[in-house]
Amino acid sequence: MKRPIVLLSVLVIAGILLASCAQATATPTEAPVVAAEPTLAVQPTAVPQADRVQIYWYIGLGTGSQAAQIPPEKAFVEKFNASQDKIQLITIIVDNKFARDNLIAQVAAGNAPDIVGPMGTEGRGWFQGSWLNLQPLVDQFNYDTSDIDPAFLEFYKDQGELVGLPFAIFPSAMYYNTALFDEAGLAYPPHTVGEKYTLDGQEVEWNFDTVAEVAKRLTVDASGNDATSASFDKDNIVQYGFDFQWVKDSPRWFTAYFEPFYPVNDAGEAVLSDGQVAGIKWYYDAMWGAQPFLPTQAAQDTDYMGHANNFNSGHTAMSLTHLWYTCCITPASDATVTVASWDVGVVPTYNGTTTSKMHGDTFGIMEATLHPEEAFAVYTYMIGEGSADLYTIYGGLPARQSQQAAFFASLDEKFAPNKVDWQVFLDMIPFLEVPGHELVLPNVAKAHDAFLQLGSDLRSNPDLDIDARLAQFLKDETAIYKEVAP
Amino acid sequence: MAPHGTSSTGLQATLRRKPLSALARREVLSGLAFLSPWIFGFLVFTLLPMAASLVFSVTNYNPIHPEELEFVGLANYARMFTDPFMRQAWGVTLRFVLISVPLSIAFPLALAVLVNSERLFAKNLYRTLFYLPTMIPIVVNVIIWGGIMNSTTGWLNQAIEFLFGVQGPRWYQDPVWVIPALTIMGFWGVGNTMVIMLAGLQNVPTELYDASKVDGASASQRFLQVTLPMISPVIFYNLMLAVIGSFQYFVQAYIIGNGRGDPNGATMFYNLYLYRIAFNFLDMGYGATLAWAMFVVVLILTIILWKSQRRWVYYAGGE
Repeated sequence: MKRPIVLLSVLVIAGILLASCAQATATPTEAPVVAAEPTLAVQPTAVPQADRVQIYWYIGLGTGSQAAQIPPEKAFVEKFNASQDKIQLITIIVDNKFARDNLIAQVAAGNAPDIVGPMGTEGRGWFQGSWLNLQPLVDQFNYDTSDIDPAFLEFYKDQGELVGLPFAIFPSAMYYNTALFDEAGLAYPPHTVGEKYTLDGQEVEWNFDTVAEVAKRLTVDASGNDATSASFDKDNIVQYGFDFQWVKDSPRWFTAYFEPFYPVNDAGEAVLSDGQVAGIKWYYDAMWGAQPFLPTQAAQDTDYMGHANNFNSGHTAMSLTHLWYTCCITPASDATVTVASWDVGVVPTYNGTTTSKMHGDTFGIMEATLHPEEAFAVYTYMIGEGSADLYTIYGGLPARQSQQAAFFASLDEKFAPNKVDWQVFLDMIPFLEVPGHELVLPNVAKAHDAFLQLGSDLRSNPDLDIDARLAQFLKDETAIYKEVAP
Repeated sequence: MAPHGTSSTGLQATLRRKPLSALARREVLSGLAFLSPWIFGFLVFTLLPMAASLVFSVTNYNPIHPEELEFVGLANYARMFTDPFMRQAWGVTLRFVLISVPLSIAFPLALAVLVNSERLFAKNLYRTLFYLPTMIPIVVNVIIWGGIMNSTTGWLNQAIEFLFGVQGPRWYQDPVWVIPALTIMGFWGVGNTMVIMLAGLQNVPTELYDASKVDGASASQRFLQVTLPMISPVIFYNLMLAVIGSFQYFVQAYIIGNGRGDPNGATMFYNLYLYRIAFNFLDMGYGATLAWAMFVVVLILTIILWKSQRRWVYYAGGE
């Protein structure tokens, strides 16, 4: 009797120790992954000072909550507060994954922050009607908007009210790891729109089919076989060829690279375009097909893949995403760098058309603010005098052309000695999507949620009947739209 | 708390009957003063919100647009019976309750028996080790288990593959496996229950075991006929807590299911659904209705459990 109990005890202790060490054992022996651990939620980061007006700045609805971004954000706040004797700026930083719910709860509880951002059109749309109209403050303080393109000002209007002033734009491009391309002996993605890609000595169009083919050759298993090899072990992938870096939670996001389309018809029903359906199927096949080249949910939820910061993990060769992703690539000067050499190419075509999905981010002041004038003072600092610091943190291309060269110079300095062809992002601007993928949907919170649910199923379920799932999605989404139909 | 000589009819009746002595008055006042933080907290943070939620449940209250508030009568209650997502949420919750509650009693009981064994080496070390995970915050717990149960790199699946030569399940991504995964994760937090069970085991009089041994009872007979009846009040107490806790399951599901019941609604527990209705979709009226429905269901179950104890719980000193 005694021996089995001792044996059982040893097994239990071993189990506990293994459990404690689980994170370590789950990580292959690669260089440490840097930076992109998101923070779950950070409460106000300073004690309010009695002699100042507190302005609370809520970060996380768009970019801004990655671990690497938080220290420079705090430095920005300290710099602002040091220049002030009336206002105290305090940050509330919440992981992007939970920020929407968290902010809704704060607004509902009567604790709305003063300033929110940076955020895109979609983020603003979730809180439609909750933003302060900035026009009276612009008039009151004679804030100079003369050097801002009137079209940009129009872009930030909601039902005729100016709910934001232009801050930054984020065109898309194809990030690629040059070392992994060199290792595979493949040509780099093209840097100009219309340029052909050279594959096996032949010039081919740089479209999503080509991307898939190249990505398969860049996807490698533990034995070194690529995805096109007969010996390829798809359950043991150590390097992926492609990813939609942080733009795949909702299929509405990544399908914008295939075909921009507003998924509501005139009858108020949910619809998907042929291009969107093709994009969804392309994406699903990239994860679950016979020759997968894109990380699934389980694959990316690991230390090895940087907990979804796949490109920066050094184990993903190409990632299609926005300019803001420069936030989260570790500079070559950092000892923990995992992607020492990288560059950007143009977005691939679909049916012969290039579409560069764009984010146009800015900040908003909440209508519930108790201190609109002080909030506007902070706001104008953020998009004016202090904007250079924020552009670096958020990787945002300044909406004002006069600031763009300085912005790219700061990125060059950050990533030196690696050289990046920033011109690609500028060249992508004429290929912006119309209509935008962030146009507000009817019953937006529920409608967006249904898209996220679809995206989750795609990433998690290898046995999905795509056509049946899409039919169910359209049925559910239509019912959601109809809930708020007049 | 009552002064000497008062009956259980309460303090007020006593006060009406005869004046209190100065000492008794001082004691009553001191008692009330010490209780006042709890009383205040209960009134403001429990009773008032409960009353408010009852009022909300008959309105269409949206906290961002309070000006649109309308009385809707029992419409929210009627809506519950036609809401397919609520049925799904009940299904997920009941499935979890049925799987996790028996295990959350049996597993800590087994551990308590183990660490109570005379033959076990270094008992205090095991007691400490089993209790330790209870000290870990739930969020950290979930994140750690996320690594353990990762279907591609987690050591659990690597162990399954090594031992049995088959690929382990996609714990968090497969709707079939996510509830068992949450149940297994819950095993880490059984230290508290184990300690209570252990206290119960140590209170069983040794004479009963001696007598049963003399009567020729085997080890299993002693466990079933002596130990279990004697610790049945402790089991009852833990069962009650486990049932209520399982119905209120939220944090783990919120984190693993990305706050929306992933994968495919398999972690859409009732409380998560309630939260989404009230705080994501700002339908606070219907959310309050769902909360009251949950309250009623748990209350009924608690009453049934309470009534059932007469049949299976043994109190050595009577009731």
